Amino acid sequence: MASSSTSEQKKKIRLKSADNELFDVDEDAALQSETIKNLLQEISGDQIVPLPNVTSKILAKVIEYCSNMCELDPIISVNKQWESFFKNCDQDTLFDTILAANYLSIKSLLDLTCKCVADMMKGKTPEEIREKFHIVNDLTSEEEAKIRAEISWAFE
Amino acid sequence: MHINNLPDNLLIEILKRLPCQVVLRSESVCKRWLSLISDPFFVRCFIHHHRGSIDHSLPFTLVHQFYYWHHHITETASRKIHLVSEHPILQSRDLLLDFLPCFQHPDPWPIRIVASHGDLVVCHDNKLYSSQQSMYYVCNLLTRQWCALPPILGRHVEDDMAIGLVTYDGENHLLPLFQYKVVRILKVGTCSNDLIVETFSSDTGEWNESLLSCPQSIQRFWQFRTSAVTLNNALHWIINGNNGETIVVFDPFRSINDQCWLIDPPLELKFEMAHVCLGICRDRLRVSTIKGVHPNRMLKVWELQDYGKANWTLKYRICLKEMVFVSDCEFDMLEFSTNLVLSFHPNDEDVVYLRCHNHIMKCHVRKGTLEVVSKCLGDPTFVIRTLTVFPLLHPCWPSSVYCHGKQNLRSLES
Repeated sequence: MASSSTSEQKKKIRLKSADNELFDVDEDAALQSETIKNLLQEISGDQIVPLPNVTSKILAKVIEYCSNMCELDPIISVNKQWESFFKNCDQDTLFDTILAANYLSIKSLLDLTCKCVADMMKGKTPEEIREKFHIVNDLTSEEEAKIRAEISWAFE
Repeated sequence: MHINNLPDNLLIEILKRLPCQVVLRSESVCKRWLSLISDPFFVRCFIHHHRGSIDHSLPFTLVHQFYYWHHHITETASRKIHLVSEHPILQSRDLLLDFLPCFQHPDPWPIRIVASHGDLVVCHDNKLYSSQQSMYYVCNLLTRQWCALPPILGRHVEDDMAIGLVTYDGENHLLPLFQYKVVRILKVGTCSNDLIVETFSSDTGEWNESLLSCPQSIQRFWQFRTSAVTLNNALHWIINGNNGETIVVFDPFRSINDQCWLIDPPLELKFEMAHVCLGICRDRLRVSTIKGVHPNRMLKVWELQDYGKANWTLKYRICLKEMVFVSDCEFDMLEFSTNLVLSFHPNDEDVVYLRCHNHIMKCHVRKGTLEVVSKCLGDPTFVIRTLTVFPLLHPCWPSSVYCHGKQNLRSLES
């Protein structure tokens, strides 16, 4: 945790996930989310912050990420660990985290997760991208040929 | 959860982080990606995301265009275009202007590059000896996108004394992002001293004409000695006037009365601008030349420190005989009188490109080293004439070439 020398008890924020699970989070971790920061200004006292768009599974990950970011470890090495986590997790978790980071407005997490997806596409052909992300090709072969002709240089 | 369940803004967040080539190829993944990526909004997001990392590291290309012929057969001059490029795609291209309709392989003789700015060039086809009218083309050599400019009534392409290109961002969101102006300066009539300027603007799709109001001190232009150098949306040429040689600046964005002014060259060059190279390094105007007589020939580079005040600083002076070759070279460069400064490295302050006999040399002025970049100028027995260098800088997203006719503009306004 942030500093062992402070004897003072850290302020906790109570969050509620879409599936009604409660999470007690350090205030400085929770405040990394602009959305939570704004919600806290609207609700009074020690009320629970409802987050109806985030499941408990994803919220647990996001809280872990935010807490890590508040730790004293160099941010770079923390970032590296999370990058490797997102690169190896299932696509469900990755895309749900992107949605959550966007909803909670945590810029560094959104940047990191989007970068991970982009990295998965680098060096891949359109066919390989479709395969990787299970995308159905709904273009006709004429449409596809037209695209290739228009941007032939990008296929050189 | 599937990637295509993400809303548009988040899919854009992901795609804008890819290199341009990968994104464009991804248009053919599925219909949704195609419509998302081909939307100008996406291009704006992409450019905005990459803008922070632009600094001075964009890949560049130097387009060398020249005529050559053998000593003994003077009639058979040929034109050649050769690239020195950092761009991986352009490095491996042989034919450059083959996408233009007027290109007739293997003799691309009638097409000539006349100006460049950003990653675009202006070419024209010379049909002097045919009944058809010559045309200007604005092209992107990388994407092979091109656009023929409308003809100018009553005038010929061959009339121009000077031509320049300015590319800029269309900040008005109703208009496409990539805009340009082609400026040409020409004489009217044979006895008149007046010059006129014709400007083509991509946003209107039309040519406009105005008289060129020259500064008092120059009175009269005789000759434009260099191709146009574009900086701060203005065009710069070294010109020959009746008061000697100087740098003239033309800004097509200013009002007619103040669109042309002069920048005095460094004092030392006042009367010897004949072989001076004018160019840009890191958004600053530079001039360079090789001075003196063998064996004490000196390479000198000046930079304009304060654009508004014609405040030149001598950045480098180095004696050619002190330079060291870092690559095999079978000649003594000092023997030849054809050493010329060709161009500047757009990003590296310490590098200029020289022509040494029939080679293009990269000269690292700080280290005092010389390296052969290309032997493109051919056999030493070739005679090279009018070697012109057109620099290109490749942005993160290649510029599109549109010709916006009046109809398009109207439909945008309504």
